[in-house]
Amino acid sequence: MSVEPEVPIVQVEEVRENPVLYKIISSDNHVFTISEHAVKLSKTLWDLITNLGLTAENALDNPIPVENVNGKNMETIVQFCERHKYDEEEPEYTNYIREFVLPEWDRQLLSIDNEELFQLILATNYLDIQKLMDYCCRVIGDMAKDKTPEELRIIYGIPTDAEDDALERSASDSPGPSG
Amino acid sequence: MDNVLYHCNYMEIASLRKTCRSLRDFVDTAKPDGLVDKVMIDCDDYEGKFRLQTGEKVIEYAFTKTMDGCSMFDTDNWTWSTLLKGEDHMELLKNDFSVFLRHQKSLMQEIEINGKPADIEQVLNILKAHSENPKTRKFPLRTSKLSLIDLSAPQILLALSSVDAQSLRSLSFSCNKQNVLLDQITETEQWRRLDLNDIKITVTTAFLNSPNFSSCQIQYASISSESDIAARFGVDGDKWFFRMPNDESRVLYLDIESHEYVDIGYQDTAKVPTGAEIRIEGKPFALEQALNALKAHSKNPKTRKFPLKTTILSLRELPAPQILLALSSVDAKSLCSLSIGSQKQGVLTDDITATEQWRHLDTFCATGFRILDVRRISHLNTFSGLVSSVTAADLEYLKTTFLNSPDFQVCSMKCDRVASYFDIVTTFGVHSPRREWLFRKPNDAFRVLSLSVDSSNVRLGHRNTNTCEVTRPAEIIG
Repeated sequence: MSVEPEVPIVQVEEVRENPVLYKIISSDNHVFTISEHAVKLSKTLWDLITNLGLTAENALDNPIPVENVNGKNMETIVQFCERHKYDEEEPEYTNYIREFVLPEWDRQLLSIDNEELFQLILATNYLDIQKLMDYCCRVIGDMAKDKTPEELRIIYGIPTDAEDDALERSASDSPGPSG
Repeated sequence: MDNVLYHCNYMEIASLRKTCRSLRDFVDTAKPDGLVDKVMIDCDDYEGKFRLQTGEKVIEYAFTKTMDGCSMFDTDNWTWSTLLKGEDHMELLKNDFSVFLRHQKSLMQEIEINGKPADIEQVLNILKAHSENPKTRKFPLRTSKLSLIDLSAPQILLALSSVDAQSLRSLSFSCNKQNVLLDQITETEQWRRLDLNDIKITVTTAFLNSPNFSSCQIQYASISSESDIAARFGVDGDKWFFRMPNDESRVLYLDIESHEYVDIGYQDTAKVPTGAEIRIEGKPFALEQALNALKAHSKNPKTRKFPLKTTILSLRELPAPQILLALSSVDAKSLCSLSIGSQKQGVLTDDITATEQWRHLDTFCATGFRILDVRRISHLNTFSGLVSSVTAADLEYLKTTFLNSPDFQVCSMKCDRVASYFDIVTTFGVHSPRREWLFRKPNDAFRVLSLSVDSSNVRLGHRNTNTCEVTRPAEIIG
């Protein structure tokens, strides 16, 4: 496992509290340190750690490469996981989520443009972080509040039926791979 | 996408569904939960209303019938509408209700269905179809409370049996008709699981007409105030008795004496406290059948040995024939006081004043009814009411009767026609500028009978001789 020596290591303050630390390398070679409690929020990462047999002694010497997540999203994810590592387990998928009010800290963290949010959701989905996924979806769901269908098309970049039809027509008119 | 839609309410999902084909297909396939808390449907011949509440947010709209279709209104702003040409308001309401049913999966707090029986039937059929369709019945409509207003008994049954029995805790229904049979309703699984902690007085009427009902003890968290219940039944107290339409031997009682409990059950008519008042009131048409049944049972050889005993009988807003029916069905020997009242003007027929019950009365009060033959009140100790006419001969007759009645108290009559002063003077032989005549009572040295007459009122009562003799000794007759 090769690590570029000039790549900065992103330290999270809270990480220092925890004696067991892991290193994660993003697709653009940024290195992140994350505590054991925080990394457990990602099912994908925790499965990797247990499968690789990483322990407190060798964890920092064996960084985990995550090819599908860039440094920007990984930074957000690490911050989120460190912030919520000691959260109590939430109730099952019930009205709790609907009645839940997104904390201001998380709302600030997720105040990013739609494209970035979309990329963050893809990364969250890959790393299988249920809580962050719920929060991201809550932010997207909130965008729909009190909006007309026309406004929703603009917010989410949704094509109209006519635009869909035009795209389909152009797709069917264009020559196939053989033509 | 499921996760995103989980954070959207029903109207937001509906808006998203309109944005594009992909989302429409997804919403129609995935049928995300509507997450509605409360729903209200109200319809009649010309209008259908649909109200959805999620949290604090309420959306209510109405389809109103027009000449060439119908208009859709936002009920917050009735001046704004969308004209839907060629559309039927009921069809649109039914369609929206169907779509709502497809999406609503989570537990609702309340659904209220309100409408004219003929119109609401169509809505209820959709609810029923939803609960029976193999594709949709795995998501039956789940609600904690079901409120049904102005529905017929079969429609109440239809609605009740169409909601999820496991979720329903509170049922409230009201019906203008008196004859609501609860039997089939109480046999449903939904009924058996109810908490029954919010009793409505209308339930009593239902029990009254349910032949299979035996007894009921209801623990309540809240109940109408005693004064409200008393106002409803027209009698003060904390225990009320109701005559059974088909059973003279028993009465239905409702007792709220015990703390946090309402007892409803049967009691032998003979054990009804003699001081208890049995009151019958209601719309004449609705009571007709019950009164006929009462009358029939009072004639039945098997039941007439247990006549309904009451000392006071109050009848409100009943026409004279129904007063006769009610009066003749109670025990004549027990009845002491009869009170009748009506906002309409009526005439008390001779049939009523000829009954045995009438002859046993000692107190009679009436508003809205006239007595044709004033001499028929002469056996009473207390009378207050209207009479058609009083002649001087009638006054002489009443005076003589009351003088000889040891228990006579007072007789106050409002009259359409009263004997002239000249006729009264001629009859009694004494002038009285104050239009009051006093008569010595046999064997009573302390009181005299007083007769006061003006242009439309006659009053007979007692006066103390001490004051009378001092002020007007010459007017005492006899």
